[in-house]
Amino acid sequence: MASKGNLTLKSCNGKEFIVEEKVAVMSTTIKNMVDVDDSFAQGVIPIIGVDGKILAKLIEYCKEHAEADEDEEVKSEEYLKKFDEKFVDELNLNDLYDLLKASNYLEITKLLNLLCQKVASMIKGKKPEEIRRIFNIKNDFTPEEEEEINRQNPWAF
Amino acid sequence: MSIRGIINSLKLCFLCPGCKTPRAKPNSELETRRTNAAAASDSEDPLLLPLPDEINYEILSRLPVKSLLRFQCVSKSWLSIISSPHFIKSHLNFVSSSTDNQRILLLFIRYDNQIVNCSVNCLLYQQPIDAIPTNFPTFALRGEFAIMGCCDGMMICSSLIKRCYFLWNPSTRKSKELPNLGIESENKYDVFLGLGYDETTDDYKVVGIVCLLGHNLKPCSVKIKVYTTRSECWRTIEEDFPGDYIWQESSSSKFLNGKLHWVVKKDQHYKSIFTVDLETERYVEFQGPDCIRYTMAILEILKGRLCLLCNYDYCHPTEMWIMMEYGVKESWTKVLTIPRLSSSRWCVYKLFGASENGEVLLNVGGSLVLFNAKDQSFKDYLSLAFDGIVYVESLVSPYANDAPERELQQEDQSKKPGWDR
Repeated sequence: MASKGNLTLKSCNGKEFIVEEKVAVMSTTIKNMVDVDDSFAQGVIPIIGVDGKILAKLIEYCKEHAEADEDEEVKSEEYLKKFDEKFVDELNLNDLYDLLKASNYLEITKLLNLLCQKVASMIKGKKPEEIRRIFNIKNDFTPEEEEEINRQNPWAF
Repeated sequence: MSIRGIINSLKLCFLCPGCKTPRAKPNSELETRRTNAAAASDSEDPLLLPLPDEINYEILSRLPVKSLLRFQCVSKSWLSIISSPHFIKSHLNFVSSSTDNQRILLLFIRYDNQIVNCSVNCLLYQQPIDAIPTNFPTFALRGEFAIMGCCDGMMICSSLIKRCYFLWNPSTRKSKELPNLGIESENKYDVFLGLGYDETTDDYKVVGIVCLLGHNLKPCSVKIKVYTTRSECWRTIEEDFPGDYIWQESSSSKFLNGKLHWVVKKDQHYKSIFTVDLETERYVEFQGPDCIRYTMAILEILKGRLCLLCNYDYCHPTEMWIMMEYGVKESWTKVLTIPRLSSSRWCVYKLFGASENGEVLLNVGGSLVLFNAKDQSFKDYLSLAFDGIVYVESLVSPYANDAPERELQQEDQSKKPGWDR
């Protein structure tokens, strides 16, 4: 059991993490759970659909940002910017994908924005067929329909 | 000078000391393509499952317009997201949320009619710049056009050779000619246009100030007309407004707080701000700062406030005044004095932006200049005659209703020389 001021988060594969409350409530979803039901603050909070590896990543991110919110002197804006850059650069596609879904579910807005920006800069120069492959999207246009759309902005290709 | 020449001369200005070649932006499209090709050959694992729609939406909001137009053909659901009015707004809100996304359109009408766009922040902070050629609008192949106002990435333009007005979004390359103003007058008249957005009707409105001139070519009365992208026609909102106000030649409009603003001359030595509220379609006049007798005043918007550049004559420095509290005359504050650069270059025509360190990006006598108020220094970026306008890249369309089929053939029309009417 976590000591006062700490919360225990449990991943879907059973890994438990004891974190400071200020770190955990960077997630709006967790904040709402704790605010509504005091028993969560005492016991273990299950984080559905997020495994230990991804949860550890989320906690790493939230810890830096929660500390920066508390003490701007030690962790300046510039420090955070560098941390964010390094954080997203080290992710492989699978982790990026899992983190996107987890930060969306847990409503960690800052992180979600950071990850969306990362994906946007990764894909902005790609071709439509590469986009379909990356996002596993089926092309549901007929060749005629696709040609018609392409004809509207041929310069964008 | 060719477009390459202009881009090169811009790049040369941005070389950092000790840096021999301009550094390409690390996330330039070219580089992305290269890493992309590498990634494809490495057969990197694709993201296995489609992302939830709300995440896709967030990602797409952060993409440049060119990528979005290309990605319309990814799937039916992507097409429907990218072309939906809701998405176009949320993309616009995203690009408008940070000054990082502001771009400047540089028009070199005297040099082969070239247009280039680049990031305002790169110019302000003297970073390597990302000059990108912009396609010339199809309505003005010979370059005889002026941009009279801009709102949400869309511009209102006027032909200089005949009375034609156009809405143009340089990022999507879409343009639309507005119908005739329908002025029946034997006398000469001047037209000043402004473009803004009316939130209450969710409609872009063009306001046309028509200044009818008497036989002595002095203004005798003013008509105010409104065009909206939904109605697609002009309406008169003010029939016989007394001609006390004189619009400066080539005066451009500024859109702020739901109103269009022009700087006008009233009486001899007095300038004021003429505003038209796009919701109520009524006009209001603000008084300018108490520094009368300037010869040419330019209205700008700086960080959400009205800003007036007051030029006197070649012996006096230009003053920059800001209306700290919107609509309150007493709040005009002089924030900057810009000394004259040289006897031939003294008039400040435009203000494009200000950095956190107090530097301002200006058009001084036709040159693109960065002025540092602390050490009173000027840095010349370009000494080619140019015109510029600050905008954001958006998907906003000149067509609020369905775009006509002919718009699809714009690319073919652009190959024909001259006006296609």
